[in-house]
Order: sequence, then C-alpha cells, then structure tokens
Amino acid sequence: MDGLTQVLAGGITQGCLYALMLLGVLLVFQVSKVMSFAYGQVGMVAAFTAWAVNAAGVPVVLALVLGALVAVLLNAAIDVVAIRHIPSDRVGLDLVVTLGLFLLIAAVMQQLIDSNSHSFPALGADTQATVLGARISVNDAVVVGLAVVVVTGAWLVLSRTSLGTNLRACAEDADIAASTGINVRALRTGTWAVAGLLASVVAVAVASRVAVDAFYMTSVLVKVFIAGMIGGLDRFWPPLLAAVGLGVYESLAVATFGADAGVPAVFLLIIAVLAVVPKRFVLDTSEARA
Amino acid sequence: MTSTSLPVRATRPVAVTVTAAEEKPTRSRRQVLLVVAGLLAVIAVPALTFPAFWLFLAAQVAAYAIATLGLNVLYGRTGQLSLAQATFMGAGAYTGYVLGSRGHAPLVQLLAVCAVSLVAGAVVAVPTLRLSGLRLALVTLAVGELFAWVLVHTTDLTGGTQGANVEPLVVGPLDASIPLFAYLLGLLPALVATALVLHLDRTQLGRRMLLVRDSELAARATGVPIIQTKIVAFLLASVFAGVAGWLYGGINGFVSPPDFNLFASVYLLVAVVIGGARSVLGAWVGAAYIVVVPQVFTALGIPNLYALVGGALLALVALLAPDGLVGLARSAAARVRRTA
Amino acid sequence: MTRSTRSRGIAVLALTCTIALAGCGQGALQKTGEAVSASGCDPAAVGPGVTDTEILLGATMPLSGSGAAGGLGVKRGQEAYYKMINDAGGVQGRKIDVKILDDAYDPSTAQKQMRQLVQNNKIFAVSGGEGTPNFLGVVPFLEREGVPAVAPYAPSDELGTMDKPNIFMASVNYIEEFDLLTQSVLEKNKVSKISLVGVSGNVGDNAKAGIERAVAGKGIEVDYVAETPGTTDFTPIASQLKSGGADWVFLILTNADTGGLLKAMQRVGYSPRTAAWSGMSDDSYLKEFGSLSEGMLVALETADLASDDPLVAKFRTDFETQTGKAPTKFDELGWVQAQLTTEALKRTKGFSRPCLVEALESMTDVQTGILPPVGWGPDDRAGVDAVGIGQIEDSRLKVLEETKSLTS
Repeated sequence: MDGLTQVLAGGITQGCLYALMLLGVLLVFQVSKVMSFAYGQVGMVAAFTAWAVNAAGVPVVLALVLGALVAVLLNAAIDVVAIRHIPSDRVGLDLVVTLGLFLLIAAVMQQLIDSNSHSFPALGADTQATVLGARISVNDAVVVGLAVVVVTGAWLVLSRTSLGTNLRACAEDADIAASTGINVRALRTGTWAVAGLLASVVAVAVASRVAVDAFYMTSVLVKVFIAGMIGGLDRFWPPLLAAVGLGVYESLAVATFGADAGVPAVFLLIIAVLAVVPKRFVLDTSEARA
Repeated sequence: MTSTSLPVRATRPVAVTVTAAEEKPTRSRRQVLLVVAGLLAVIAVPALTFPAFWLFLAAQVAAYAIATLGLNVLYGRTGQLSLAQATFMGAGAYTGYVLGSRGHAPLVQLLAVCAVSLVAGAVVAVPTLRLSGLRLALVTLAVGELFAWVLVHTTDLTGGTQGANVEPLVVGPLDASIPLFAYLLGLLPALVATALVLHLDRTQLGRRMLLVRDSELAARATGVPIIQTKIVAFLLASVFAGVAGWLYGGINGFVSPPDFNLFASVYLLVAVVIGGARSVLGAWVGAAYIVVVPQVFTALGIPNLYALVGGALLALVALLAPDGLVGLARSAAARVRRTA
Repeated sequence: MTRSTRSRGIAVLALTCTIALAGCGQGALQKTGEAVSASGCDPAAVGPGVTDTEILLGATMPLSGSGAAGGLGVKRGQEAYYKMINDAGGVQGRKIDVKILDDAYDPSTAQKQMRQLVQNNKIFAVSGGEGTPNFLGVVPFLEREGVPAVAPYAPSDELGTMDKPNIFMASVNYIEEFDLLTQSVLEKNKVSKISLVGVSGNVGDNAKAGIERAVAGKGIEVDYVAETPGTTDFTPIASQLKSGGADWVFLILTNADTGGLLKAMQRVGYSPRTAAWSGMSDDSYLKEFGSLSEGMLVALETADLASDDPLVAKFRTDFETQTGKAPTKFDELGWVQAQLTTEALKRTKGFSRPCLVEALESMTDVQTGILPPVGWGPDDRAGVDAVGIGQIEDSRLKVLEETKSLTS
C-alpha cells in the first residue's frame, strides 16, 4: 500500500497518545477502583487554560505549566471532594457522578473562556522531516518518545520501588494496606494528581494537532476506555499495547475506507469484542446502581 | 414489618401477608385520591391556563416523560446504565418520519415504531447481557455513535445532518400543530406509560428487576432469570423511548441527529437521576427539567448555565440525594409529618 | 388491573373529555399562522411584536461553536445599524429592538430558538441570519407560521423561489457562486482534478453542482468529501485528500473548520491550490488562518471594504461611529441585512405581516453599495444575482473582480 509507512506512523503516534492517557486511567482504576468520565475534561482544562493564558500574552512554556498545574489540582480535588464520598457499597455511582462532573467542567470552561473552537500553538507539529517515506513532525517524535519513557518509568516504579509496592498494596486491598501503616488516602490522591498530569500532556499534544474547545477530548477518552476494556483494566502491558494497536487500527481503517470509516471501525470493534468474548468480562463486579 | 414475634420461621411469610393486607386498604385509598388530584392538576392546569408556547413545551415534557420512564425502568429499577436511550428515541422518531412522509397513517407509524424499537432494544440488549457498569455504558455509547453515523450517511432517507421536517402528527381530530392538541397527544400516551410503570411495581417482574439491580449474586441464588429480566428491561426502555421519539417528532415538527446523540442520552440520565431514579414522579420531574430549564435559561440570556447546573446537579444529587429531588421532597415531607 | 388503577383511568378519561370540549388558555386552540399575501394588506391591522413605540424583530445565528465567526460578526453589524436608526428616531415613530439567539450552526437548535422567538417573544419578522443548514431548519416553521424573513445569509437552491414565499433572499445560492468561482479558476489555470470539501447536506451538494456545471464536458474529475460541522480532527479528511491527489481543493466549511482542515493538510504534507466561499474574505479568518491560505481564491458577495463607492464609504464611517472599530465582512453583511429590513419597515403601509410582505415586494431596486442591487417582486424572492472574486495574498484580501451580475 502506497503510504503505508505514513499510515503506520500516524497510527502509532495516535496510539501512543491513547496509551499515555490510558496509563492515567489504569493507575486511578487500580488504586481507587473508580472510572472517571471526567478524565478527558481534566486534560481539556489544562489545554484550554494554557491556550487562554497564552492568548493573553503569557509565553507558551509557562502557559503549559500553568495549565498542567490546574489540571493536576483539579483531578486531585475530584478525588478529595467527590470520589472519596462515594460509599464503597454504591458500586457504579462513580460513573454517574463523573458524568455530572464531565458536563460541569465543560460548562465552567465555556463560561470562563468561550464556547468556540480555537487554534492551538503547533508545538513542533509543523516542523517536519521525511523518515522512511513518512512525514514525521517533532511533535510526533516527542509523543512517541515520551510514551515509551513514561510507560517504562511507570512500570519500573510499580515493580521495583517501595512506592510501587505500596501502590499495588492499596490496589489489592486498601484496608490491609492501611493497617500496615500505608497512608492510603494520600497515595490515592497522589495517583489522581499524577493522572491529571498525564491527561494534561495528552490533551496538549492532541490540541496541538487539531484545535481546542470544551468537548474535544471526549472521543479520545472513549477510545481510551475501549482500549482499556479490550486489554483488561486490571493489567498493565496488555491494555497499553491495545491502546497503541487501536491507534494503528483506526489509522488503517481510515486509509482503507476513507475519512468516514473511523467511527464505525472503532465502535463496531468494541461491540464485536464484547459480544464474541463475553466470558472475560463476566467477572466484572461493578454494577451500576440507582 | 413483622411486629409480632414469630419463633417459627416457616410461618413468617403468612404473618407478612397478613400485616401487609391490613395496612393496604387505607393507604391505597388515600394514595389513589392524591394521585387523582395530582393528575387533575397535571392535565387541567396547563390546558386551562398556559399560553400556546408553554402548552407546546408541556407537550414535549409529556413526550420526554415516556423516555425518562423507560430509563427509570432500565436504570432505576434494573440497574443497567444505558447511554443509548436517546438513540432509541431517534430510532422511533426517524421511523415515524420516514413512514409519515410516505403518507402512512399514525396507527401504522405507531406499530412500526414499536416494532423497530423492539428490534433495536434486542440488538442492544444481546451484547450487553453479561456486562455491567462501565462496559455496559460504553457499549450503549458505541451503539449511539453508530446510529448517529448511520443517520448522517443516509441523507436521502433521513435528511442527514440537515435534519428532516416532520409533518405535525394528526390523530383523529387532534392535530399537533394546535398547541392544546399537541399537549393532549403527548399527555395521553404518557399517562398510559406512567400507569404501566406504576403497575410494574406490583408485578413479579418488577420485583425481579429490583433484585437484579441490587445484587445479581443474590438474584441468581434465588433463581431469578437474570437474562430474561434484563432483556425485558431493555425492551421496555427501548419501546418507551421509541414512542417518545415518535411523539417528539410529530409535536416538534423537526428532527435532526443532534436531538438523539450522546449528549441527549446523558441529559436523559441527568433527568432521571435529578428527578429520582426510583420513582415515577421523578421521571416526570426530570423530563420537565430537561425541556423547560434550557428555555428558561435562554430566555434569561444565560444559556450556558443549563449545562453547568445540569452537570453540578447530576454529580451532587447522585452523591448526596440518591433518590433525587422527589426523594428529598418525600423525606422532608415525612419529617414534617413526624414532627407535626 | 387493580381497583386503584381503574379508578385512576376513569378519572383521566373523564377529565380529558372535559378539557377537549372546553378548550382553553390563550391561543391554545388557534392554528397559528397567517397566509402570505393571501389576505392582502390591511393598514389598520397590527401584527405581533409591534406596539406604538417598538417593533420587535428576531433572528438566530451561530454565536458559539465552529460557525461563531460568522454569527458574531452579523450580530454586531445588525445591532450597530439598528442603534444608528434608533438614535435618529426610529422607523415610523417606533424604535427597533432585535433579539438574536444562538443556534450554534445547528438546525435543531435553530428551530427551537426560532420557535421561542416567534411563539414566546412574539417577534414581528425575522431580521437576517447567518448560515445555511441552521436557517434551512427554521424555514418550514417560518412558512407554517407565516413569518417573513428578510435577507438571511443562507445561500441555497431551496430558497429564493416562490416555494418559500416568506423568505426574501439577498444572496446568490452556492450553485451559482461555485459555478462562477470554478469558471474563474479555469480561465487562468490548467486543472486536471478538483476535490471539494463541503458541509454535508444542501450546502455541499449545491457547491458540488456548481463546480460540475462549470467543468461539464472538460474532462476534469470532481471528488466530493462531505464534512460534519464541528469536526475537530481533520487528519482523516486531509489524508484522504492527499491520496486523491487533486491539484485544486475547493472549500465550503465554517471558518474554524476551514482553518482546521488547512492545518491538517499542511501536517500531512499536501499543498494544493485552494478556492473557497466568501466566508474566507472576513478579517477574523484572515487574521487567524491567513498564513495557511496564501493564494486562495475567494468568492465575494459583499463590496470590498476599501471600495471608493460613496455608499460603502458611508457605511464604514457610520459603523465606526457606532462601534469605534473598523468593520469586517461579516459586520458588513449584518449591517446590510438590517438596512434592508429597515427599508421595508419604512415602506410598510401597516404593521401586520402581509403589509410587510407587500412592502418587501415593492423593493425592486435597492442600492446599498454593500450588495449588488437588491430586487424583489410579487413573484421574485431571489433578490440578487451577482458574485465577485478575490484572492488572499499576504493574509490580505485582494479584489480581482468586483461583484458582477451573473446574467450579463
């Protein structure tokens, strides 16, 4: 196929973005047992804030740092103010509450900034070179590099450090972990904060390639969840690899069937996977409750 | 419930029915009077006093109430978090539009809407039978996105992104282009749906739904056919939503894909949770919220506040008042009654 | 069925019959709407939205979302014009109040907003508008209710004919616009393939028809990609265009979407010649995306802002006096919409809708300077039949051909 390397390059880059975001989702899910629909919006806050602040004259780097800071604080706040107050027996409430936060955060940003879509600084997306027949930008290379470094780093931390052991203990059984002196609350909120940082990085990278507005991260989050479900939300490498694979799959579908094929390709995939391989997911104990 | 002490377990069921039967007559008579009075108010007040525009909104509230009642059954009673309720509305609305534009009578449209909704409900129910929580929500979301994609890519049939102009629904002498008749056309099916859901409470199916919601493990242990219950819940929700969508199209006069997208489904969930996911009145309150409040905020010049308040309310109510506004009102009333 | 359910059912039935017979609140039984010119103008009748001191007009346009640049500009232009008129005493002794609601370029929202304006706020008439798919969404409602609309910017082959007698158009439809644009391109360039990216629906279809009319018989391939407004990621479309390999890409998308697509095309390394609808001639577009649009050919529907036509010069001065800023193309468009509406209000013999329609039909040759001469009649709703051509150079608009009549 002509341009296959281009398609693959694009797919891998997009997949690395999904993987970075999914890492945040996995960390939060495994340590807090919660899935946050508002996670994409937290990233959006970072990017939109950075855009607004930059448009008001602040230099790009400082703007990005400010945006990331706001997102980190926001995600930590979501844990402290909302998630912690979800009774542990009300399984499934996390989805409903975070759906509400999803709408709320978008509306607040629309009120504070505006409801339009805005062009984001390119951050290296327009500096390109041709490598092996594919046009790769500095932005693409940074994204892939960052994904590799961060994911490997996370794995090392989780498997080789005492922090990692503590985190895994929280994930296994919070009560027992607490009884051994681990500050479970602090670790949990810390995880949410780190996840906020990851979301910021991904949101800024996506914004630099498309545009920023109050809802642009929604489709990214949905695809990240899908990759997580395919790989298994309680694992590490399989879902992250599934995320990269999803990016490539999407890219191939678009290249083969046209720009319109992206949506049906991804959604038919998840329906097929869940319909054909149901047993893997039967053990899911989260039931949404009224 | 068993105020008298019963040492032998085997006789407990008998005691339960005795006490229940004793309590039932007075409570139900008062309840009936209250309900009839409430219905009188619901029907008569708008019809007699509302200006045309607000009657038209009331008609829409009635149509949406059917959809929220369906979600109430699926989510409130059976615990299945579906983000496809607006999709089912869309299936009904577009079926009605396609048949209506070809000159078919309302009865034919209604039958087709029910048939299509049943099929749609089955199609969504099947892959989700063994799922719950986020996975269920995501599959319903995926179905919704696919439906939206199909609408946009079948412009010749559905009008695509431009939407479609729907001829006002005419049933006998009731023409939906006249606000009062639009109100009646929406209200009557909504009252039927309400009665159906109220009746559900007293059936074995209703009790099974509650069990499936509360604990599938316990349900399975007591021999409740979970799969069947879930399928029925999905079918009820999809048919209710399909009829609601059909009425919405005929009353509003216009349908387009954004009316039935992910956000529309999220707002239906907002409606059900805010109103009170376990009560019929809650479904009505929620429907009124999502139809009337955006208009009010637009009229006040602060349209963005709708999403803001909706999101905040969804999060707050879900966390703090799990039985919604209706639940809050009921417990407040109970507290007043107790202190009085 | 239990006893309580049955008694409830009977109560419902009885009540419904009572109400159906009684009939009720204000206007609840009225089939709203007045036929256009069927009743003729009665100077004594007073329509909705008009009092002794005020005339209430309304419109919907995109004030948020990807089409916001257009709507915000038109709103500014209209409000500035009406303020000028009101400061000078109004029209026929009445001040004009215009209520503009946001439809986010979405037909469903537009329909709901228009219903609120007509049935709740009770506007007299619709003053302009911006955007085709959103306006097309309100047309059936306006026709049913008999509300006249003056010069909405909604180019479409479905409007401007006597099929929709309440809609008085003042813009050429996109078939004509793209026909002329393509002819212009073909005159000066050798073209083998054209790709068109257009808003899905009537807008894109019209543009496609226009291009096909111009290339008929010339052996030029035309490829069409429909786009849903508000798309955020244009990489798939850009990649598709690149593999299509056309030397010219024609665009008819909202301003924000055009910018997004051009950025994506640059990212995938595809740089064809481009041509677009008149939205690209607006300052807000040039400021944000001018650097991506070097050499783009643009259709022009309003007069060059730098023109020495005295009417245009007067517009510039008046607009700056009212707002303190120099006007942009969309401001110009809003201004002329308000100007045409005010002209009809000046001429109308009575303040009812049929009278307004008669007044509009009497405007057979209105010189605004901003638009080509506008002409309506008892059987004519098209208004205007001229388009100009410009080109973007150094992020600025250069006029190549002034707006000229298509029938000459």
